[in-house]
Amino acid sequence: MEFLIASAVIIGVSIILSELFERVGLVSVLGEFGTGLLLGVSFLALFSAESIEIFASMGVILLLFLAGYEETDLRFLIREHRKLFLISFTSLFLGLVGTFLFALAYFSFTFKQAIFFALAFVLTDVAVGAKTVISMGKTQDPLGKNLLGIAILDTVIGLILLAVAITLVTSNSILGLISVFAKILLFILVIVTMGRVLPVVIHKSVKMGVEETEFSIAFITIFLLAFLAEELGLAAVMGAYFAGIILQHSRELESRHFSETMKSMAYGFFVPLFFAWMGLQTDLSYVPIYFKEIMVIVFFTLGIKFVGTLAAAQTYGLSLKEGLTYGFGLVSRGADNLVVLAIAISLGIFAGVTELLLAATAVLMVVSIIISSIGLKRLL
Amino acid sequence: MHQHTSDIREAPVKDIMTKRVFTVHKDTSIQDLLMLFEKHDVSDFPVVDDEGKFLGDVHERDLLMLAVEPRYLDEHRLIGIFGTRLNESFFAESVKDLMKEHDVTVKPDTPTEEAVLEMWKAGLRCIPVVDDGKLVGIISEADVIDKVVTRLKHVKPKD
Repeated sequence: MEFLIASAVIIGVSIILSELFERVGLVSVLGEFGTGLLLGVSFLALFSAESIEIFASMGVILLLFLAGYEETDLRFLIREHRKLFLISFTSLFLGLVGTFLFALAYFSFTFKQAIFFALAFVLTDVAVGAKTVISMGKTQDPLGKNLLGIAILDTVIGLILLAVAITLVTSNSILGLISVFAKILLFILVIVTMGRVLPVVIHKSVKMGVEETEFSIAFITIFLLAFLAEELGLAAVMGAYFAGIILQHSRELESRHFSETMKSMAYGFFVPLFFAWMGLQTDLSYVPIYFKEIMVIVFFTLGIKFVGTLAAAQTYGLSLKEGLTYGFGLVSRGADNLVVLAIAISLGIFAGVTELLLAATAVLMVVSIIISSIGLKRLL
Repeated sequence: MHQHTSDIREAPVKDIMTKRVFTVHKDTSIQDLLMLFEKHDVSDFPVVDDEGKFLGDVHERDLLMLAVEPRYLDEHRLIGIFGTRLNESFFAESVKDLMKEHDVTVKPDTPTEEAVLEMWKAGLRCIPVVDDGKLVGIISEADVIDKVVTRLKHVKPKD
């Protein structure tokens, strides 16, 4: 029954740490991840990651469900903010390709490892930029809005690329690739069918009068698609992500009640446990052992994203100040990177280098958030 | 108390709805919207596009966010939980940035009870009444509450 006491203590400590981080202007994910570091092997060694694994899995599933459920229409972003899309795409493309090649050359990673390494270390966590824009009262400033638009595009495109990457790694040969694409087609067919059928089912079920039916149907959809994705060799979380996209268009689920309740459930319990779980798995004693490698990872991945964004902004005719603002805005790392890392670890891609990459992520998050916050506060 | 309001529940919305409907265009500025709320003394406007097509509604409560300093708001309200949503109401310049988009409508003959249930389920405070694609009225929480309060005022406590 370790999971009961572990959950209670972890949630309690993460509230305190997150509040402390929030008070000094840092994002709460650092507090939740830090809770795992504090209570895990790095410091107190009170709990093992296994003790809360099921809850942590639910956390990442709900996180990705909400990512899909809340996702801004990509077509809208491209249509309304074409220049932002070009900058975001170019910056992401340069960052991913550069980091992919770096991983192959410097670490001699395999092709699959290099793909996930690039995704896990290059994607931007928008929360830092958003927090800075809000704290400085710059939500009415076009520069603040554009920065968030670029960072959100980075996340949305990143999720699409993640789905593609997961597809690629589940095949080992051309025959395997064909089989994977057949599975993907089946998955898409199921999603399209469910997208058409579910709104009708939800509408009729809600009319039956059973209490909170919309939540039951939402969870059935999330679990079924997550299970199907896992069975087809994709990651369960991608099933949850697509469940969110499908259910986004259900009229019954558009209510504030559904959205707020799902968020409360996710952010009040499961999501903090997921971030803490990642912290529990991280052993900071590897930092001095792999110090050189970690420093190379941190400064290469931050540098390439910063320079790539600046170059993209200059190419599309923006001012130096805009380029620097977007550059500092896009270097922050956090929740998104932990999710990609968790997926890659669950797929067994980082076997042998998990400890190095977890320790590197911990350092990268802290360094990137500090650099991003300071840079943005000077430029906004 | 429920027995005194049974006929309100069954009444078609056309008996309760507000028939004089003022609409606003999606591109109306926030300043003009404020003036329109004052001028027409309503709490909600159906929002339409160039062709007069119904797009959703904007409620005076949607202006509440403008009364709060952005720095007091959580970053997740601005970008969603995972950073995949841009909440346009933070940068509101026109009605389309504040409005709630939806296509929930009722017909003039829909029973009031059904309209109220629709409002609850969709988290709306009013629903347009549409007949043959034409906007003929709007039924709001306030319309129904007025009716219920008026009725219950005349009920003696022992009833």
